[in-house]
Amino acid sequence: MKNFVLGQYMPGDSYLHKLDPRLKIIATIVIMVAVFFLKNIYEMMGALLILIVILLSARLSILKVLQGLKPLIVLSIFVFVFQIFFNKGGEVLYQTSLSFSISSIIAIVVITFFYFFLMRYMKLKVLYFFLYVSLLFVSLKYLLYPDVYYSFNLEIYEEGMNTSLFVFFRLITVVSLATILTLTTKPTELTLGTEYLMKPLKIFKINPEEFALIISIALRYIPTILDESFKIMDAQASRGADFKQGSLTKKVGQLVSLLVPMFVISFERSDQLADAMESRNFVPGKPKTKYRALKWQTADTISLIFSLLLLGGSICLYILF
Amino acid sequence: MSIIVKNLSYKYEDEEKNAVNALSFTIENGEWVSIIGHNGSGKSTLAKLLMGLLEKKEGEIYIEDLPLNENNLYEIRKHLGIVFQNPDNQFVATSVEDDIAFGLENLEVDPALMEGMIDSALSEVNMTNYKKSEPYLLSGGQKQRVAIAGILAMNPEIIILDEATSMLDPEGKEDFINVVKKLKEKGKIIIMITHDMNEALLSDRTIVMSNGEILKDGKTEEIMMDEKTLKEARLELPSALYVYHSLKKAGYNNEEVLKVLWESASKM
Repeated sequence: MKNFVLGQYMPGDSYLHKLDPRLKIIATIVIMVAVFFLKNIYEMMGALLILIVILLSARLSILKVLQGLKPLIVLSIFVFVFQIFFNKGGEVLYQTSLSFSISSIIAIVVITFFYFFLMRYMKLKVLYFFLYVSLLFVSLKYLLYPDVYYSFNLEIYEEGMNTSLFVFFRLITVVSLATILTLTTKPTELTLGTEYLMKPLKIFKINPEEFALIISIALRYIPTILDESFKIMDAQASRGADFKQGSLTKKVGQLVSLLVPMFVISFERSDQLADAMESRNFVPGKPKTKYRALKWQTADTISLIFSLLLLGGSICLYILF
Repeated sequence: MSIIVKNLSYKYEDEEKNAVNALSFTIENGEWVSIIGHNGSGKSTLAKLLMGLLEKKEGEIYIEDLPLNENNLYEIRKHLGIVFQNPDNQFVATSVEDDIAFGLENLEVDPALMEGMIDSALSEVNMTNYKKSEPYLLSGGQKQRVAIAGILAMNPEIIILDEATSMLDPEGKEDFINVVKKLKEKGKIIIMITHDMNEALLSDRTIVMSNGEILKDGKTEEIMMDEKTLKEARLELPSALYVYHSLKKAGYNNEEVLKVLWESASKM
């Protein structure tokens, strides 16, 4: 739970913390759109620079924001590898020949066995994975004894490298923006801002107040439900279940044993919460007063102009280059 | 303020027997009433019926002469507040102050007055320092005190505690009970649903329930002396009272010792 950064709020009194939540939501969306108008790695580097400036103005630790990217590691690696190996445009930047021989196959089997065997003892799993991939690479490159059965060329092209870095950094920028929004905005303010921004949806008969309440309750219960799931996992583990090891089929089976009690508990919880809400005179759709009021200030207007300028800039770059 | 229950019955759809059957009683202003009984005796169903969370099938409930029905549910709930067993399942908002404000917002209280009402409710339960905290980070006892504050802010005359201490540690329980004692002093009606006999000893009056019916309704002291009824309701005496009864049965009549045992039972 402590490592779950996306959705967490970090108290502070920075410029970003003090901005109106409506502005922060709009600006986040506007800058995200601006990022999607960028076309090459150099423009993306500029966006990263602006992101760092935003981070510094929020007085947030870069490490904390990077922690928010943890759930995206697998996706990022997949996108990076896919682009680097399959995009073959421009000059060749690196070329090498990799071969399968008896010695390299044995080495791969042994390395893979030890990789999975030692997995449970490793804390830095990402670094461990990179070490594994490096060892596989060394085996395929240098272990040629006694005969080479099959060889293939590994080529990294300029375009592949550029696109993979571009896509990778775009992913980081977009997710970091969302993380900065949640790290600098109280959940209550986020809910209030969403409620306000959703007001036009009333014409489609969507009640923004109820929607905001749903978000608020969801945010409130994330830690409680996570705690619950850890308790169930501990209870299952005490009876021999291991959620970290085993084949995919076994893991799916174990996931079901976690999900079923989770659903039952969540339904019971929602029933009791509904009773608690009703007994505090909550009537869906009935008019309510508001404890918190939002206040739009000059700093919000300036920040809005800044984010619109960023969008305008990236549209210009898109059209001109 | 008073509660009048007349011939109240309720049956859950998937069950054959009535969960509560022909209950009749009156609770007057300022009374602290314990409703005790074994699991499934109908205590919590009664609490939900009093709050209008379940729709009664038979009988009448009057809150200060106002009959409880769908048309005046909103009005009636202004007089009632309930704290449930599980502190985690009562919070709507992500901060203590916003959670307390939830009830006030529903009552359409002027936002300018809300902060004062929240502060005063928090001070009544000694939780002023936790105004900005996330409910998730509080201890069980603190969560229940915040739940009470959420109700106190709405200023109801009747407070129902539905096994509100059953998930608390001894310290949390003590803090919670101290808050309830303060509320009683302020003249609120306290209805405490419990199967903790030590807690029941604190009340003025006790209603014993078994299988959906009232076995006995009387002064707490009288009920605690009635071993037969408690046995029938599958309830155990507090240990100090057990010793008290055993000594009495053995013919030991030292008034001083018996008095000490009785007092220690209510402090346990």
